[in-house]
Amino acid sequence: MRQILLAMGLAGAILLTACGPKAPAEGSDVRSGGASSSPESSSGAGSSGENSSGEADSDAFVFTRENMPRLDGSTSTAPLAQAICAVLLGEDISEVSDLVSFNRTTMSYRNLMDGEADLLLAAEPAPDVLAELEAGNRWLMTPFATDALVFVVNQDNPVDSLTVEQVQKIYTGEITNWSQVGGEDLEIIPFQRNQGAGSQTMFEKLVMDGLELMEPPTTWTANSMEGLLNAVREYDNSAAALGYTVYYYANDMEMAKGLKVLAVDGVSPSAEAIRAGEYPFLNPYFVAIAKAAPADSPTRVLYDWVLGPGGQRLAAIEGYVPVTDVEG
Amino acid sequence: MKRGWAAFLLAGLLLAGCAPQSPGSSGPAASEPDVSVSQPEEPPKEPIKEPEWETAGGVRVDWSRLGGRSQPQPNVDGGRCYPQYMDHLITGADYGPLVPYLGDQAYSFERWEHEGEMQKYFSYWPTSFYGLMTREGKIVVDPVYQNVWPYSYRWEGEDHALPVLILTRADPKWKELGSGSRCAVAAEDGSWMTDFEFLNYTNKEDQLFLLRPEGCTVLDSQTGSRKDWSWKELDMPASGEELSETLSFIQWVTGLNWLDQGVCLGWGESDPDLSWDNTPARVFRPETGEVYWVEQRQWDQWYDEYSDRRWSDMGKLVHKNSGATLTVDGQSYFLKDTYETGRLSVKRGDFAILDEQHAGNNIWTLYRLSTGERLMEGTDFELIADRLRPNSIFPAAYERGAWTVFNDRLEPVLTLPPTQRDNWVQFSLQDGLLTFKENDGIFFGAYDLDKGEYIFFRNLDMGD
Repeated sequence: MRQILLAMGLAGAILLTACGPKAPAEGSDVRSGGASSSPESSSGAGSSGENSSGEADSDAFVFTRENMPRLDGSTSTAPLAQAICAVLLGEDISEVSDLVSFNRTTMSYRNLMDGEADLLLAAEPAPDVLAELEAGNRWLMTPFATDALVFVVNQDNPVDSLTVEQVQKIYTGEITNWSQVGGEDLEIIPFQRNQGAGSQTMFEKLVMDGLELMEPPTTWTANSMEGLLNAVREYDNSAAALGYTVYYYANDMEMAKGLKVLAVDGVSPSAEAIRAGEYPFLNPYFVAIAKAAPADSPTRVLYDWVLGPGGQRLAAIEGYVPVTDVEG
Repeated sequence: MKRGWAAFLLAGLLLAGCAPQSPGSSGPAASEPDVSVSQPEEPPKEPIKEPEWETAGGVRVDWSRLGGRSQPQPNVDGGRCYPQYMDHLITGADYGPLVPYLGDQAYSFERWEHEGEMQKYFSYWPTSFYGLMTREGKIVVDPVYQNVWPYSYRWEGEDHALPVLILTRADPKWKELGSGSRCAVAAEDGSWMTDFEFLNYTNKEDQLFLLRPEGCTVLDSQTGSRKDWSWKELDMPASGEELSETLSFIQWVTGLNWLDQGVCLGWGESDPDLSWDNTPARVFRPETGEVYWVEQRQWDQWYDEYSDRRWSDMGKLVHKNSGATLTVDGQSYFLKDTYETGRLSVKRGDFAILDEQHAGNNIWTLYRLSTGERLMEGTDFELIADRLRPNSIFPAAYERGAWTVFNDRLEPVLTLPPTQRDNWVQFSLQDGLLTFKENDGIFFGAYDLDKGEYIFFRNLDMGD
């Protein structure tokens, strides 16, 4: 009798084990024992945690809508953030737009510092905001991909390439006509960006590097709160226009907006040229969180994942240039 | 997106069947109006995609969710009327109705010196600039206006359109009075236009009343004919600080409104012994040119009566018998299976949007008034009314990052590109041409609902 009961107990235990859920329940952090959530592969070495069998490991971290960190960043990283949410939540990209409400580069860093965002995917902020970030010593900013500052003109502009020196001279006002750089006899309109834009920070840091910028094309705005103010005009893609933006955005919108992306010093911006360091104006995209984020928190887990092979692979798939050498 | 809307409508049907009875109710009441019930057709069920989970980097992922990103809507327009850059309207008789389009953006900034160092302020968000195009998307004026508003007003529950556009521009030469901007009035077909001379405006039927720094004007919206008065003629301060204060008072305290009794043009000389109610208010009757005085109390009473007729009726919602009776604009409708409490947000034609509360949550719901049925519930709704086609209403709904516009039969006719920051979209509809502007100015489109195609689209964001 005792043997029968023992056999029944063992059989019961086996059955229960076989019937238990394979995947963790929604909404739970199933990491056991408070172990660090940082996968060994976060440094890019090894392949721990990789399982392509069609099922997640039982100790895989599960992201849900409830525990997903609040994301913010530059507009050019919003598509990557959507892809991250889609793969981590198992939803179509069209269904995760509500989780990616990006407030642009400088504002996103302010939101992080004010506690309105948990994790940023963003370009470098304006110098004064960067100084504020660094002064507090409370934030972790780590490059996860490389961005490039690209120059754009109307697709019908016959000019295909500029040298660095030509770009500088256009923006100091020394070169004023497209004919001076191989184009038509047309006064150049060298548009700039607003000070909060990541591409303006890149432009002033990488291209002008201390040279005195000419005044940008401006207009006037007026409202009852601020009164009359001068305003920097955005690039308008007219025949005489020259502007700049970031590589990912230009690549995505080139056809839709009728833009042409220029080569600089004969090098056309591409993922290959950026990865090889051949294109002259490169700058990182950062993933940023609070240093105090606990090791097993969703914020820290996501931060590590973005820097690990999973996140790096996803960045490559989505057309970004990850900092590690992975295949998309 | 189609699957999302199928789920929506299905949820609405299910909820309609399962909604809790209101307290004290005992089933369908005998006093419910006898209305025909029409159930929307159940949309075809799409197979739900099962997740394909695996592990990457210690995290559960489903790589199969990648892809399917839609291509950006390309820029579209109908060409140009004039080959050169056009910063003003050349009046003419052949344009047809002119349509405003968003075509440019600018970031305002201010620089000043403080203790030897240059300080700067930059607006995070851009100011939009508008141009004018034809109904076919042909550019007539490049984007130089800070605002273009096809004039419409609400009176006794009905929307009315006037055949004029209010155009606004900013210039330092106008800095002295007001914020540095001025308005002009143009015929909607571009056949005539005033100078940029006006500070503010209102209307009574098809007559516009406009404030100028030098006086006021009545302008016929049909013909453009006008009559001007100087402030001196109306016994008002004519210049300086006193004029500035009076004009500010008219615009921002009493408000510029043209009642049957006239337009209130501020106070007389201030008397600290007089209360607000007893303060004399100057009233100008443009029809006769008469200026007379009444106590503020009297003007406020007239204004309250006017206001009830001018602005939207907030409606009254009385819950009973598992539904609610909505009374608005003098009509009553029984809405079936409403939540416990709520209020009317907006009513247009046969549609109403309610802001309801259930289990501590706010829920936006869309109802058809003639049948009383709840059509949808969701994150946000709009009712887009055609300024020129009576009773042509298109509901729009926002869900998970994008707006979808529906026809009267609740068939989706257009899904807009995704917005940023869960943003609101400004819609406008005129003679079947739907225009929309993303609130941060990321994109602007003009879609011909009759033809089912874009006649104009601009991607305005330049990335960050």
